[in-house]
Amino acid sequence: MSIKRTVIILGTAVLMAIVYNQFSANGLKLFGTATQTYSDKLKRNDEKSKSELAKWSVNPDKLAWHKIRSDQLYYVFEHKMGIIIDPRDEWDYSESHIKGAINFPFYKFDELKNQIPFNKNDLVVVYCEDNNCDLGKSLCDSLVNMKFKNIFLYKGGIDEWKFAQYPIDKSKLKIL
Amino acid sequence: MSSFLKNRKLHLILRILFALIFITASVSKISDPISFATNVQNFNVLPDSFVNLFAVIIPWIEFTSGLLLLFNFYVRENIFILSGLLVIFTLVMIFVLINKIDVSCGCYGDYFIQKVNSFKVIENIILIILGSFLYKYAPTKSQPSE
Repeated sequence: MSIKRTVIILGTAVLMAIVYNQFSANGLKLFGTATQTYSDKLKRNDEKSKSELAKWSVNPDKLAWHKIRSDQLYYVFEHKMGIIIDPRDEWDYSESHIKGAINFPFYKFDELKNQIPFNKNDLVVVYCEDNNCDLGKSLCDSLVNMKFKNIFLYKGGIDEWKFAQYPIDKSKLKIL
Repeated sequence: MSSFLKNRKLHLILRILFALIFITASVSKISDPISFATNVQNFNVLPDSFVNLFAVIIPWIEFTSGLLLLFNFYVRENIFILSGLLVIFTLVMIFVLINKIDVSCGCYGDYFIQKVNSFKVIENIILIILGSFLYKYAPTKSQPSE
């Protein structure tokens, strides 16, 4: 076995990885985490996102959260328009959650509220288990109190999302 | 036994199998790096700054070495690289199991979700043994075919 060849193979692979990552639509920021990358990739100023929000009759200057339907949430999901937050505990979250959703256990709100990885103008959708779960509403209230503007509540929750056969996941995307 | 292990056809089949495992595993990770980076982040073994770098580079090492191995280029070097990766993955899995962290292994990206468990560790150990066998009995050009 030649050490020189091994180094050349590794070097070639690293070079290809960096070049591909640079030009790929799914490329990551090389020094950082998946959560930061997801947050960076939000289409904050995308015109399409803005016009879609306008269709939902949302007044961005009004400090209140809004309701969102599953088809609208799917639009957000598909176009990476915003962050989807799951306020349930880690156990429920790891059972199943909306693909790409970030776990933000509401019971840890005081601990996590200073490390929220999105901006006050980002579109944020919060969901819970189903219509009867109040964690989503509580988190929406708390975020609005912190002056976050585009906060949405998906009342149907993970149950409705699953019923509509939209993508779910079981892996864990940590908040920090 | 020794002549059986040196059998070129057996070596060829196992080498192709070994290479395909890594190529398959790498393609899904290359196409969806965020999911793989998420898995790496959840392992809690790397500093946050290096999570994405690792998630970007490792699948390409798997892919390049897997492809070269498939086409019989630099067999020993590529088996050494891939087996080295297996050893690292296995140590990480053992760390995850010891710390009772409930995460997906991310071995095949998001196409085939598997939790980290003792079966995954055993599977990796079998692959490491296979890699060692392929390395040890890699035919040289002067070796007659059997």
